[in-house]
This record gives sequence, structure tokens and C-alpha cells, in this order.
Amino acid sequence: MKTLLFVDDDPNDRLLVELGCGRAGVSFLLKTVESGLEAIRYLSGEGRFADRVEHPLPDLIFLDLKMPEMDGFQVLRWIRSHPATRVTPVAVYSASFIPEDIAKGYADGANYFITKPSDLTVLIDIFRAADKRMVADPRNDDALAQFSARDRRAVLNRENAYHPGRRRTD
Amino acid sequence: MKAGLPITFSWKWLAQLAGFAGLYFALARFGNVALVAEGNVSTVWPAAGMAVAGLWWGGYRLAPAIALGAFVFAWLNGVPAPLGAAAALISMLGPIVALFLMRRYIDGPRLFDRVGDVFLFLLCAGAAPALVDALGVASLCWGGVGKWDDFRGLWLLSWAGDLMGTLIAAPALLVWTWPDNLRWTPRKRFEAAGGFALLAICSMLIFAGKLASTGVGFPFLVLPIVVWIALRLGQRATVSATLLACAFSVWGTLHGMGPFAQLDPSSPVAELFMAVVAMTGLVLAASVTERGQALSAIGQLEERFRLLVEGAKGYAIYMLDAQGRIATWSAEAERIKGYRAEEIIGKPFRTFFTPEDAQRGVPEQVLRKASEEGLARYEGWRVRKDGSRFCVEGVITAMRDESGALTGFSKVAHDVTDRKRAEEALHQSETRFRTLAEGLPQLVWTCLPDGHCDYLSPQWVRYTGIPEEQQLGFGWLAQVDPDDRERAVAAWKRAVETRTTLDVEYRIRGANGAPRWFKARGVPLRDAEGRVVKWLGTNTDIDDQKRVNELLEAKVQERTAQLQASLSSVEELLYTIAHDLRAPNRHMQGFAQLLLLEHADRLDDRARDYLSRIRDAAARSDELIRDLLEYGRLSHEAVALAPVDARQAVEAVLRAVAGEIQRRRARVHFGREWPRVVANERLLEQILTNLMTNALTYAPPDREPEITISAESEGGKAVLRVQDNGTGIPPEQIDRVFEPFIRLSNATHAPGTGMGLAIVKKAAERLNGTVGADSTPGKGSCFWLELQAA
Repeated sequence: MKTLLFVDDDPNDRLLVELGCGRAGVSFLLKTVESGLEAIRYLSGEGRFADRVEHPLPDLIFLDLKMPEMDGFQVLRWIRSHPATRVTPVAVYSASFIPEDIAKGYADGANYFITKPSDLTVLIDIFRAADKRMVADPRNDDALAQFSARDRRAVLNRENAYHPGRRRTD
Repeated sequence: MKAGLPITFSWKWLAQLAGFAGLYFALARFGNVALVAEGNVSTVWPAAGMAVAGLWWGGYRLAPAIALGAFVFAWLNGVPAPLGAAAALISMLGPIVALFLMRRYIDGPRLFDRVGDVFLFLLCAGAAPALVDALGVASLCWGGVGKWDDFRGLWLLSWAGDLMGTLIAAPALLVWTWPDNLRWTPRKRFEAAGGFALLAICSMLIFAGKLASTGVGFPFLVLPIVVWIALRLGQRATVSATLLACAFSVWGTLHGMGPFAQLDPSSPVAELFMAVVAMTGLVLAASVTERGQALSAIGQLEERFRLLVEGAKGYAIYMLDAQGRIATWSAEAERIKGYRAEEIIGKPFRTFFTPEDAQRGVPEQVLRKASEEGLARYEGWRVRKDGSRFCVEGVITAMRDESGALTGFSKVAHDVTDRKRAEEALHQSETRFRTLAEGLPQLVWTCLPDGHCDYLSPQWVRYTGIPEEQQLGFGWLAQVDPDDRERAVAAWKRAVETRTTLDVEYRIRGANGAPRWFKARGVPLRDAEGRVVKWLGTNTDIDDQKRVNELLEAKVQERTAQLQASLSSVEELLYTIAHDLRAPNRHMQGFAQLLLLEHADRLDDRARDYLSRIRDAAARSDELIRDLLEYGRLSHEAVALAPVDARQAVEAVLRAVAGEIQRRRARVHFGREWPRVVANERLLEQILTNLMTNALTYAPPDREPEITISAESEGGKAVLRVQDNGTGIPPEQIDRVFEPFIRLSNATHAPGTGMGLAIVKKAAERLNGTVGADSTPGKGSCFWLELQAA
């Protein structure tokens, strides 16, 4: 069974996701933690997260950005700097939609940047897509990508701004 | 030319030989028949003269004709053939020797144009027969036909005959073969007729008429007439007159008339008379010819001299006599000084001087210097006839004769008034320039077209404390701050090479050692052809200004940083607010939806309606927050502009709104031309998304949306258009649609925050573009975006 780790300090968002996943009928195991620090504890198997049967390493991580003590970017950098999680796909899941956050998210190693939807039906669609993403080869069928900020190009635009005249090749 | 005999065979030559032989024979016969009468024999043998003339005219190749003619003549006179052949050879030899001598000593072909030539001719004509006849007479004596006792008499007779024949007949024949050097006017013809008539009458009277028997002196009356003809009527008339006079003399004498008939036949008076007449005529005619040629040469020389003097435009060339009076004048002198020749010749040189100069004795000083040193140069103001003044520059040269005595002065003067005025004007303008330059607060300089400095104002010298001459050329660079020197040189080099205004700032070290900032500006001065003749520049002290500017700049930077800091903290705050505001909205909407999904059966219709309203209000509130945040960000966010393919942007937008298009069953027409535009991809897509969304949203419910999205470019601009078939916008509202929170009266039923077109307008501004709308209510609207074409 695949595991999705959901990191968010807002209990309402955690509840909405749990309820949404229930309604979506997803096949993965949803694990939630309520802060960045706890996410790192979970991922490194500290304390109550030592039992990897109860708390398996996730196959996909949904990560909020704005959290007390340790924000999403710091968690993301930690994930990318630890061997066990270096290649684990991470979706930034935030209320933010501003280009700077999106660019920074991708720069720090996020695979997706998903803006939290206010419509529950969209939320359900997102987690269904996440379910699919975990079992399918993302190179052929990346269902999650359509919810991700397609502003991956914003990053590139920013690069181009420093190198005017360089043509995009992707 | 072939070596050997100077004879080449031709029919023409044979004909000439025959004709010449015939002529010789005829003249020999004439001499033998006509010049023999009453026992007297004339000493004149014209055939000899004819032979000499013929050879001079035709060359040695005609010599055989003489032998032939002489042989035939002798043969017909009954002379035995061997003797005749010997005589013929002798007759031929004489002219050949004469011709040899003449060719050697006289320049041909005209024999009698120079007095010297006439005497040489006489010598040749005498010497040749003298030799040859001695040979001939000697051969006669050896042959036994003559006697040695008679040798002298026979020789003299032959020689005199040949000489006289040559002197009289040869010129008469030859001169007529050459063009006459006299111009025959009717007057000259009349004079000639008179002269010849007088000569004929006198000769008749002297040798055959009343005066024939009286005294031996009369024949000499003929001489003045021959002299007259020789002096006045040219060579042809002269030789003809000589011939005429001699013919009368010979004829009268042969017939026993005239003074010579009474004399002893052996006395040579008649021969002397004829020789004198012939020689006088020839010498005088030659002298006249020579004089004519000399006069014509002098005339040509004078003409050339006149052309030289008159042709030197702008130069007055004339002469003064030894006393300094004007001796010659020219048209250019008249033009420059205004005097006509008759007015000025004989007047003193000082006439041209200004009264001041004349009083100071300048003219006399100039003449004295010229006569002492041979030459004097001068420059100064002179007075024209009309009183106006002009400036001359000239040379006056003393002329001396062979003994060294002063004969006068030659003077060449050039009018340099224009140059002098120009020089004075230049001097004045330079003075003005210096006064101006030295009055300016700036450091003033001028440079040559190649960039070498040739003037630095006293301000520059004062400021740097270094003499001007040390700084000319490129010496001034030493005072330029070492850090700025390379830049200063480069800027100056570029200005000189491109001939464009110099504008550069650099520091110059002052006399106190401290550098100050100067702004150097230099402009090229050009002549009428556009060539740079000079650079004029100033260096303005901008040190204080520069310091103030630097201070200000630092202040501005500091303030800007502060402002930016507070702006970003405001933004951060705004973002936090927006972020945090969105969460409750999201939760309200989510839980309302969950309530509706999971507990709908336990609620009545009214409760469900309330829940829906809560859900929609939350959704709307979230949308509004997002739009406000976006609008605020657009005002200050950094936007990088780059060429963007409009087709790619439009295709991306169409993909993004594909679901909505499908849901509304809209038909979308896609244009053909898609220019590249200067834009930011994200903003361009945002604009197009908003416009597409509007076009889809504001379609009336009764018809399916039909949207045309197209583009065109013209004159460096590109226009993108989104045309719909919606409800349209009333004309009075069309200007307000781009203002924030404006929702049109007829669109209240449609969803939206009222921020969509405001964001479009703001984004277009950030792309340096413009947006607008054209609309026909009820038919549709067209929104357009104009950008720079890439």
C-alpha cells in the first residue's frame, strides 16, 4: 500500500483533506502531521514514528508552506538533503499562488506546486490524481501535473530575465 | 639613300634631263647668236648661270644634261667630236664645283636672303669657273686648238663669261622659283610699273639713245633706280631689274652704242658695271629681307612680351625710367590703378603713393633700395586714380645697361587688397575670440583638425599653474588625472576621428595639486566645404556640482532602499493577510459543501438554500482576494520583457480554458497570422485568459458563444483581438470597463469580481502596451491589445 504524508498546521485543512480523501475513495494510506518539525521527525523515524509499519516512509508528500517554527521551504530542503527522501516526490500544497513562492518551491526541489482549492470537488479531484500518480509511471501519465502551477515556466522566465536573448529550449 | 651615284633612274629624271639639256642648248645658242654682233662678242655667257641655277634647284643628278647640251651645241657648231666632248665635260665640271662650294658654305635653299650669303655666292660663282676654265683652256692649248701665248686672254674671257652669266642669269632664274617675300599691293604694283618704266627709259637713253655717246659716267644713273627697286620691291623685281639693265648694256655695247662701245674691248668696264649693278641689287635686296626678318622677329618677341604682361591678370607690370617716372603701361595696370596710359606715362612713381607715404619719402626709399641692391620688395597701401585705396605687394628691379648705368626700373605689383582685408578681418576676429575666450569662466582651448592643441586660455594656464607652451599638442594630458586619462584620450580620439562633438568628463590637477572634475565639450569648426578647420572647446568646472550630485545620489539611493524596504514589508503584510484570509473562506466553502453532500437529506429546502449561499459567498470572497492581490502585485512587481510567440501564448490560454469552452459549447475561430511580440509570457497569458473568460462569460444565454481570436502586425506594432458575439457594452460605459470594481449594469447576473479588466489594463501597461474595446450593444464586443512587435 502506498503512503501519502500530508503536512499542514491548519486542523481544518487536515480535516477537509481527510474527508475529501474519504469521499474520493483513494487507495493510499493518508498520514497527517501538524508541523514542519513533526514532518521531519516522521521522515527520520524519531520517537513515535520509529515504527515503520505503523508509519511507513511516504511515496508522496503534500507540504504546506506557511507553518510556525519551520516553514515548508525548510522542510523541502531537508527532504532533498536526506538520502531516504531525496527522490520522494513532493507537492507543495499551499494557499499561495504568487510567482515568487512558486519559483522558490521549484527551486528548492518541489515536483508540484498546487494551490489549495476552495472548491471541495476540486480537492477531491486532486487527491484522486495523487492516488493515480503513486501507482502509474509519471513519465507516461502524470495526472497530478494538471493541478500543478503550470508556472514552472515562471522559473524559466526569471532565468531569462537575467540572460536576455537566450531562447527557451523546452 | 643608296650609296654611290646620287642618281636613281626614272622616266621623270630622263624627262628633266632632256628638258634641261634643251634649255642649256637654247641659252648657249642664244649666247652664241644674239650676243655676237658687228664683230663684237659679249663676255656674258648666260648658259653658265643657267647651269648653276639648274643644279642648285635639281641637284647633281641634272649635271649630265649640261654635258649633253654643251656637246650638242659644240657638235652643231662643227667642233670635232672629241674636242666637243672635252668642252662638254669642262662645261659640266664648272657648275658641279660651284654647287659643291655653295652647298658647303651657304644654308639653302634660298640663296639671297642674307647679305653674307650673297657675298659667298659671289665667291663660289667666281672661284669655280676660275679653276675649271684654267683646266679647260689648258686642255685646248695642249690639244693644239689654242696657243699657250693666248692662255691668259682665253682664260680671262671664259672666266668672265661664266662669272657674269652666273651673277646675272642664276639669280634671275632661281629667285623666280621661290615665293616672293613681298606683299604685292596695288600701290606696289604701280610703283613697280613706274620703276621699271624709268629704268627702261634711262637704259634706252644711256645705251641706245641721246645720251649714248656722251661720257662714260651716265651708265651709273641706272644704279639709283636699281637701288630703289631693291629697297622697295623685293627680290624678284630686283633681279629682273638687274637683268633688264644688263641686257640694255650688253645689247647697246654689242651694237656699238653707249659709252662702253667706245672703250677698248679688252678693258673690263662693262663687266664691272654689270657686276656692280647685279651685286648692288642682290646685296640690297638681301639686306632688306634680313631687316624684314629681324623686324618680324622683334615684332613677335614684343607681341609675346605684350601677351605676357597683359595676360598676368591681377599684376600691374610696367617700367620706370631712371628718374622714377612711369615709362610703360599695361591694361592690367590700368585696371588696377585706374589710370589710362596717356594719363600716367611720364608721371612720377610717387603718384601712386598715399600722401602720408609720399611725405615720408617712401617712394624714393624704395627706388634707392632697388638701385642700390638691385631689387626691392614692398607691400603697402596705394591710391587709385579715383582716390580709393588698395594694397599692393610687388618687386621693383633696377635695370642697367652693359656699362652698368641705371636705365630704369621694372616693376611688378600685385593687388592683395582682398587678402590683406581677410588677414585683418582674421586678426580682428582672433582678437575678438581671445577677448571672449579669456572672459569666460571656463578653460578655453582650440585644437588643429588632427587633434593637436594649439591654444590654451590664460584660465587654463592659471588653473594648472603650468605655462601654455608646455601643454600644447598633447602636453595637457599630463595634468589629467591618471585614472581618467585613458578615457579622456579615447573620447578625444573618437571625436576627432568621427568629427563629432566631444563630450567627456575628467579630472584635471590644479596648481595646488588637487584634482577637480571638468566637463570638456568641443565642437569642430568647418569651412564652406565641410572640412574641419579647427576644434573649439571649453572645460567647465563641475566639481562642486558633481559632489552635490554624488551626495544627492547617495541620499536618493538611501531613501529608495528605505521605501523599497517598507514597500516589501507592506507587501508581505498584504500577502500574509490575503493568505490568512483565504483559509477561513476555503474552510467555510469546504465544510458547507460537505454539509450539503453528507447531510442534505436531513435539511429542508430553506436550510439547503442558506448553505448554498454561504458556499457561494465564500467562493466569491476568495476570488476577490486573489484578484486584489494580483492587481496590487501588478503595480510594482518586476516584469521582464522579452520576445514572445503570440501563437504559443494563445494556444496555452485556449488549453487552460478548454473545459469552459466545451461546457459553454462555444465556437472559437483562430487567426492565421501570429506575430512575435515584446511581452512577458505570464502577463500576456493572464490578459488573454481574462479576455477569453469574459467573452465566454458574457455570452447571452440564448445563443452559443462565438469567439474570434486573431492578431495582425503593422509598422512595428502588433494588435491581438478577442471578438465575441455577446451582449456588448453600452457606448457611455465603454471607457469605464477597465476601472477596478466596475460591473456593467447588464451583467449583474454574471459571476465575477469586477477586477478582470482592471487587471488586463494594468498588465498591458506593464507590457508597455495599450488595451481598448469596441462594442455594438446586442451584437458583441471586440477587446484589443496593442504591443510592440518583436
